[in-house]
Amino acid sequence: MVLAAWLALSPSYRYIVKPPKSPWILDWAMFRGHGSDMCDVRYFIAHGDEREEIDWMAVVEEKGLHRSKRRLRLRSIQEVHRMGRQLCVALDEPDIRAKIRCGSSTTWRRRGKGKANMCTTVPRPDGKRK
Amino acid sequence: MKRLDLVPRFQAQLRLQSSTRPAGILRIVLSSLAMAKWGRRLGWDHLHGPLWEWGFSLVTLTSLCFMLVGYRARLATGVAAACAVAIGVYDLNNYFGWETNGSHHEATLAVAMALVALLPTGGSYSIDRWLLVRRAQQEGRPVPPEIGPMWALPLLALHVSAVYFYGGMVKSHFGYLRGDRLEQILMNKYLGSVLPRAMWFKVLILVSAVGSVVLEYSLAIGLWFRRFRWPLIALGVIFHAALYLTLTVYTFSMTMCICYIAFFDPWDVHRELDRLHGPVPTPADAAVTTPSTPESAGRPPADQSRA
Repeated sequence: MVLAAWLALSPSYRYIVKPPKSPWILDWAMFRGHGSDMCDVRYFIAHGDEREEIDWMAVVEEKGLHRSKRRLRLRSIQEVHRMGRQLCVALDEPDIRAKIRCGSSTTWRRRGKGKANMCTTVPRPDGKRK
Repeated sequence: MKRLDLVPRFQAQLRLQSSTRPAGILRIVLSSLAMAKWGRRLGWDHLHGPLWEWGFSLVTLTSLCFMLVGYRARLATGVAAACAVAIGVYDLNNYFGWETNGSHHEATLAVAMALVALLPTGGSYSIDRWLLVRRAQQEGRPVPPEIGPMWALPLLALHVSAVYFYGGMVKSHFGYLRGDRLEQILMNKYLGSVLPRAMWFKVLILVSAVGSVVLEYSLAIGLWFRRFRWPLIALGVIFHAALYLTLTVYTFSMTMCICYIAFFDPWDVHRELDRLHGPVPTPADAAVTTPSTPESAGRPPADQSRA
């Protein structure tokens, strides 16, 4: 009976009461953090008010900016800006912007709406623009 | 108010004597999975810490070997399960640096092993059983039947249900059901930092997200009902095969699939295995089916008599 109660109820105790982490309270939250740091990025070349989306993975492959486009994972605003600056140089464009959303443990969070010119802006460590 | 007969039911469950074959199968498969999961990491060339690590490694691997072949099976399963719980539940895997934030897959395997340790694991498909049969035959006694106290088998089924139920519960939020979390996982595994914008991809993600949660709840509850069991097992195996293939979920998938056996009556498993084994072949059958070689000619088939 005790074993059955432990198996059936200890996870709900963890999720409802949220006690300090204990190995004896079972937890079956699979894939909770897996991939939650990924950023989904779309780069644009800005011509005044007009935006032209770049197939930036093709540029990365063509210009050799990364060894494999399938392994290219941007996991922070800093990495997104670094890639943006590389694209500025590779494409010889003065104004490249990005729409960015990064993962969390539950959903996507918007981190950039394409207002910053990545060729001239450097993000602060907290992700905000200088 | 009608009184629930919980106490008599509980006492009857504790006295339950049934076929030990499911316990034997679980013992073999779970020990193999544990060896595949931890064996290489516990090799002495991988250990660099204090002396107790080497002792722990020796005890774990020895008990797993004994558990696999079924020699002193109950003791070996108990010791192996204690080691598995120390690794998977009590976070020795963090200490060793194998995992950074615990592993639910290892915890699932460890808890399953701990529950199997409550079963008579040496009663079937084991050296213990072989020795028992040989001793009985030498002493001219009838071969003892493969029966033992199987009261803990429903606990293993409950473990499977709990893993599915809480797995579904933590995914039951808008972000997961909309496919956001699956997109992140797929990007991390395969796609890199560009998500396909095609409608078919979004629909596929949405169906997968909702479908996985519905399936987890269905498995948690439906496996207890004979009527839904086989269709759900088929869906569960396909689900775990997909996870195995796409998301590097190896031992967890195998652990869950083999634990489906806990939902069946042990005698049903026993009878089905008997049906699979077929009758003991006679020398005449062997002469018809086995090509004659100089070594085998005239030799009768091995004695496969069982209780």
